[in-house]
Amino acid sequence: MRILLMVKQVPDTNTNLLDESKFSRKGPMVLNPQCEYALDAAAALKGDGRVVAFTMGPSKARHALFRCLELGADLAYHLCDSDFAGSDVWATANTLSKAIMEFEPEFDIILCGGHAADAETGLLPTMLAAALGIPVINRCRGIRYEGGSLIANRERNGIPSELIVPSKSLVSMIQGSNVHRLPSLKDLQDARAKQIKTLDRGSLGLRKDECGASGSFTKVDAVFAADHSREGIELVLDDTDTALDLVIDVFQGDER
Amino acid sequence: MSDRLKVVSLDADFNHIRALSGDAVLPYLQDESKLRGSASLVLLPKNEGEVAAIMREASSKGISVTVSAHRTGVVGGAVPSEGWVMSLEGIDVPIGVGRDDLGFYIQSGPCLSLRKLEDLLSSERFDGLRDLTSSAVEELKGSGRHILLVDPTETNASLGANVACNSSGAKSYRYGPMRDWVRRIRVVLPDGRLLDLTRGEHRARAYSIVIEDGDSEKILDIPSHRFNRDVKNSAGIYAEEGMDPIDLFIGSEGILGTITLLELRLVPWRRTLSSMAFFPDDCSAIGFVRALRSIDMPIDLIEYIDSNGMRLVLRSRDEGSLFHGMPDPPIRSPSAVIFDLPYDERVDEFLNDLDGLLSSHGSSLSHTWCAHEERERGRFRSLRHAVPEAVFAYIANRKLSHPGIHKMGTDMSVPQDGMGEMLKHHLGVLKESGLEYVMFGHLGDGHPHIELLIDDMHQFAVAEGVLRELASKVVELGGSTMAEHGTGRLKKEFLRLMYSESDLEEMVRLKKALDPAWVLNPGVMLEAPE
Ligand SMILES: Cc1cc2nc3c(=O)[nH]c(=O)nc-3n(C[C@H](O)[C@H](O)[C@H](O)COP(=O)(O)OP(=O)(O)OC[C@H]3O[C@@H](n4cnc5c(N)ncnc54)[C@H](O)[C@@H]3O)c2cc1C
Repeated sequence: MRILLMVKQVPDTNTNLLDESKFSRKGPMVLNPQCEYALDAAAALKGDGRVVAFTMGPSKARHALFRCLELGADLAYHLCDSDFAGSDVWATANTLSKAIMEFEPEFDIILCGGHAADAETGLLPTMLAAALGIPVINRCRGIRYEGGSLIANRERNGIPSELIVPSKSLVSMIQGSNVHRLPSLKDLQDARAKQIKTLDRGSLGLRKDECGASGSFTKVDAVFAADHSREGIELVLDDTDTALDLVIDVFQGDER
Repeated sequence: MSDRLKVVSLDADFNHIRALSGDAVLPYLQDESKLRGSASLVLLPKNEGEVAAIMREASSKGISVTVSAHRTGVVGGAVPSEGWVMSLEGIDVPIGVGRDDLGFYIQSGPCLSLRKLEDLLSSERFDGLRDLTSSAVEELKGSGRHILLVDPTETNASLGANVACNSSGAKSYRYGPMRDWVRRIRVVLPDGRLLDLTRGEHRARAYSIVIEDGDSEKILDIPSHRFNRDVKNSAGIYAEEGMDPIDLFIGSEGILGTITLLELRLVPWRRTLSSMAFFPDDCSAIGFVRALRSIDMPIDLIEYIDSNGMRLVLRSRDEGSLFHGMPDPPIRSPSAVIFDLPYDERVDEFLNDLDGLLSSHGSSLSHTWCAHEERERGRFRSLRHAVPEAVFAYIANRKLSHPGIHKMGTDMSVPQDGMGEMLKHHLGVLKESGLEYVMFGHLGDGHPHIELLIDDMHQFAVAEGVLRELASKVVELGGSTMAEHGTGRLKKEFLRLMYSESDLEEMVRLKKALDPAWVLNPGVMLEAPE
């Protein structure tokens, strides 16, 4: 099976995500967790085939591609150009679609993470499928090859469903029953012999106004953490039973 | 450099310090050793002045004060036997950044935890921090990520206690313990006066220091014992001819003074490759550690988990209490060795060398997990942390039916050439005792921890004998019975194995000179004189 994998490098959400009004790129960066599920699915489906990973991002985004190479990808493309800076989700989808059509047009399936832990729009899979003119199945928890067909599992409102994935479609993955994998030193050694090809705007034949901030419809003005804190009140109660009743009421939504 | 230290007095009102009593005191009576004590009051100073006021009040009235931070200590150092607990939890903020010839340093209150410092440094957001030297905060922001090189496993521990106990981490293998990274401390003495000590500014004249207070002065005699620096060692008070007096307080477990402010050196972060190699048995893993030490590679740390320890970790995972999602190791019932190398252009060279080395000890590159992304490396770190954590949980559980039980484990180090003999001896004694145990930790430093899994008071009594035997052997081999956790209340007996009666008397004399009323951390490290 020929699998294309779209991944993103994001700030580690265990650390500080925001820097003033931007996403922080200073702290530790990691492969987006949901992309990791897509990577696991790709490695499991690959068989005798080939997995090719793509990312668009600054130079250190290479590390995310390298992790893909360690955990099963055979080749990676890094879309890296200062002209790509400021891309919104549409410009990103458009740029990725150009790279796919130009460099890896023959594929059976494209796998992505359901959403990125930083921007959280969850729109890229659908927009990329639209740019490529292929079907999309979003937020799948698993995907397997059975009886000559690819079958994806999804759950909506607690109701599981199985869908047959048409050839040449895009599937986005969220957390399923994947077991976390760790690369071995052998995987690291093998990955170092694999190639990460860098693609700039010129090599994709994109005009400056078709990508980056100038090719985007939206612009992020500010990002901030929502403040969910509420004023507390202190009640002094004489006996434990009344206090317990009150706590139970609060948990049941009756805040008095 | 001067041999004269100036003390100053601070103003603060004792009567306005927040205090807890009754049931609110209970959480302060125990640390991770699971030893339990008692206290009448917990005092919560908000600043250095209040610490001074508490000590002034306590020393004038002869009331014992036990200094308490985050109580992750494992030798009962923060467990009070009577009197007051002085919890430093309210003095926990990072204060500023400075820069000198040796690089950047961070200044903080004593109760900032290691984890909070790590988070602060990795976020590179220093809002609210003061410039201790001109534009230091901006310069640090522009200089890439920095870290503290000492990495004790328990990141909930406070920096102040880490300094007070001269804690070590896995990376002490290459970079030494906390002591080497302390630039400055401020210490409130047992009588409430304050000392401000910057490394390199003072030096003892042979074995004495003069303490000046206004017009009066007092000579402080430094003990003359030999402090064993051939191995990792936190036993007793650090002493040396012509020493920097800052070192008297680092590692003295809070018996000479309370650290109220500290400055620690930072170094630039660099990418690191962490590896966890699995071996079919303990012997092969130990052989690999020896081989790894002897080859020429810039290794930052070598940590070991024996097959009993790995079983405990996997059991915790299966019971759902730890590491959800940790995959099965590539070998059944393995032992493991974790080691760190720089992740740079030399990595292919390292991989070639490791290939042969691993294979000749029953492992391979394929049987070795690796991580270079920080998140993954963090998972390895929590895996290492999980072994002691699982042991402490086990002991806490047994304590429910046998309240007399507390943690029984070793923290002993030997010189490298004594490692083989130590392991052979220890494993023999353990086998004969019939006790269950796990061995893990800093094998690369000749400092494995052995934790005994005790079920009842009978086993507890057996364990006491076992630990005594192990300790005697370690001393015979030129090692230390307390490599990093300190002596606390639980290991005073082992101090007697390392020091003579007159050595201990000199330590007591030093403490008595600073704490005539013997009120600060009484019962920790040293027994009160008759
Ligand atoms: C799972 C686990 C793993 C651990 N791993 C390591 C390790 O890798 N390396 C290591 O060295 N230790 C380790 N420890 C032990 C422990 O974390 C350290 O001893 C640490 O220094 C204790 O910090 P704390 O804030 O919890 O101090 P506490 O336990 O509250 O106090 C410890 C001692 O320091 C004194 N003290 C505290 N603060 C001050 C101060 N400001 N001034 C003067 N005296 C003070 C107390 O009186 C007491 O004697 C581990 C513990 C656990 C539970």
